Amino acid sequence: MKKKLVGFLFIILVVSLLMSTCLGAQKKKVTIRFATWAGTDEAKELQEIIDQLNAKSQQYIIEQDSNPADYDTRLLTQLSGRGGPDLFWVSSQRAAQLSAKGVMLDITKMLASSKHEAANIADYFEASLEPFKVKERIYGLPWIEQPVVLYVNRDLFDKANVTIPKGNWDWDKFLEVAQKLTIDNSGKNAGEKGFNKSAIKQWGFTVNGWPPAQIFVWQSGGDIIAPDFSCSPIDTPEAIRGFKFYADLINSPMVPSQQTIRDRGFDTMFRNQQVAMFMGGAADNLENRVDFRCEVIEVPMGPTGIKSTFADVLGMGINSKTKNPKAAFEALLDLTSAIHQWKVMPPRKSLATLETMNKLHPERSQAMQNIINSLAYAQPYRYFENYPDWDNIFWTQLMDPIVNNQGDPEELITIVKPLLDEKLK
Amino acid sequence: MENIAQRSINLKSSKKIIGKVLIYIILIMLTVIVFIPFLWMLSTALKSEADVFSWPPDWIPKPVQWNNFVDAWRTMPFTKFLQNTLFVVLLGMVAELISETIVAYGFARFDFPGKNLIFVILLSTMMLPFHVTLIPTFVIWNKLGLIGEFDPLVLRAWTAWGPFYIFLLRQFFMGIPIELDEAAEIDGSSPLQTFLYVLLPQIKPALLAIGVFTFKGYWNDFLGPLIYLGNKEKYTMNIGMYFFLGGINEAPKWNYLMAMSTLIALPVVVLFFIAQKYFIEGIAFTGIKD
Repeated sequence: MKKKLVGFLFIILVVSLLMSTCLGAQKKKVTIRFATWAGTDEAKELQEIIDQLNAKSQQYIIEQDSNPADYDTRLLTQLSGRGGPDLFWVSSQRAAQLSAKGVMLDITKMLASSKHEAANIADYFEASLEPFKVKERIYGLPWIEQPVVLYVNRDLFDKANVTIPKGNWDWDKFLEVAQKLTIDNSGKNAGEKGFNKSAIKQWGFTVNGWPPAQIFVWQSGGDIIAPDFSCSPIDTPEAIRGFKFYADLINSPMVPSQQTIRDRGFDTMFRNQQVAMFMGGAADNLENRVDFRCEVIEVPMGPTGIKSTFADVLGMGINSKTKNPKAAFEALLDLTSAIHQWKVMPPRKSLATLETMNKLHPERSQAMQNIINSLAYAQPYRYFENYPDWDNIFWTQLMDPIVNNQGDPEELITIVKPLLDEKLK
Repeated sequence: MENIAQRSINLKSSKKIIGKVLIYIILIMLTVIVFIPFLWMLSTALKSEADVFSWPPDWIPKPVQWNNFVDAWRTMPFTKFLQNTLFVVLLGMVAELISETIVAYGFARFDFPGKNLIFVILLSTMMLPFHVTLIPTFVIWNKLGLIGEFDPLVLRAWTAWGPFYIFLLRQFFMGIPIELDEAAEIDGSSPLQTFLYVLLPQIKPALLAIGVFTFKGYWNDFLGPLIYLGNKEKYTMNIGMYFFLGGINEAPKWNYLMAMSTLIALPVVVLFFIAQKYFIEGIAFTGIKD
């Protein structure tokens, strides 16, 4: 009886061992929580990409958790509380901060050992990787580098008998065009005698803090943060010239008052044909989203022929507290690669060619060459760990008075520069 | 003499009338000012996307886009969001009412060592802004493995986490004569029975007022669900409607956002009108002001 019982137990043990071995062999996919700030439409398109990746992958299932509501507050609270998503979208500004604090996973080694196309660091534009680098270690990957371009309303240009500028045009030409496109109720433009600047029905351009003043400072040959992060050289003659041009533009009749912009909506005024030229991100795709003939051209260059524009770089990072770093890394690479095919512009040299981009986005064929041209000289801000504090002073004490209170840049710069330099120490 | 007296009376009454008219005019003007944002919200909710920023603005949209409500509702899973919201609101509200009433009853009617000290500590937590405790609280829930679920939003209510309401209910209990408790005790009632059958009916207005406030608090709560809820399946209405704000390259859908804002504001307004009588009575007793 005893022997029978021992034999029976032995059989059960063997069967259990075999079953557990077999089940273990079937690798379980791990769930990767992926947070983004995508809105309704963007989240839907992203989900289609994720569904395809999930179907292909043997390692992971990506669960999208998209919400544009207070994205940074949510993410920072969750990460500070040692929780949060495995993988997340991050702005360059935040990336610099989170990388420096070790909140984002150091992926340098994993990138070096991976053969995935998105892991080839040499293929990325250097400027796009900068926000994700700390002391030559890499903490994330960019999925978009969109240069600021100029969207122009061809219908309004034709109506005003103005030719759309192409290639090398400068500030003077820009002001001339903006003047001709600023029309009062009697039909006179801002360059004509008798123009009534208190009864304007159409403006040449618009500014409300966007586009950033940095663009004009760079075009003027100045800089906002020194390359070695030692100071904010905003008091150089070049930088002051850039700020002054920006301030003069805001206070000119060619740009609607800030109250008018607030009342009628910033980009809405361009969509409603009340503004003829609008600087926007290349990914805005406005030319396909408005009811008039719209084209994309390069932003004007500075008075000494310097071409420059702002590049908005957005990327993705892995939570350093993730329980599944390998699967999260694979998901990061697959997602980054897929988003490069989806968004304009991918920050990779191999993809940023006219042929490839026209294939990926045939509906943007008119705009593509100018977007690619812009990418060649586009640059992001110089981010560093303490950037949010620096940025707070820059916007509240310098830009806000310039934009909203007709502040004199020269006077403000003498006050604000020491404060900005202090934040760089 | 009589004429002078009559004239003086007439003068007084016409002064009264003028005073009243003036007060009404001021009140009407204030009401209009208060209503403008609400009317703007309603007007935008009924506009097409292109007309949202039309200039000069149209208060009455042409044509009225009633379908905005339906389209906005269908764009995201708002039925699910509503279920989630009701789940959190009802459970949270009931839990708070029960837990806080019991705690307040304890402080009002029982003596135990360190009672005053504990009460002072409890009250001092009112001074802590929610944002200060946000991360430590998140860490606790994270360690309990309950992040991403409704638990942090509902279970916290069982901890009687509203010191202000506890304070008010305690004051309310203390205002009821102790003789009522003693009479009940003589009749053989236990402390629980006294609480349920003698004291609770006395504090109905306060309970109703606090009920309305907690309902409003949970219904409008944004930061809690934002931090704790893990994915779209669990979102509440407030979080869901933020999808209409768009993204980096996606323009906000203001008309949809306003349509959903109108719908979200509606239950609180309706609840206020239904519970108005008790609510004002409760406020008069307790002195609660939002």
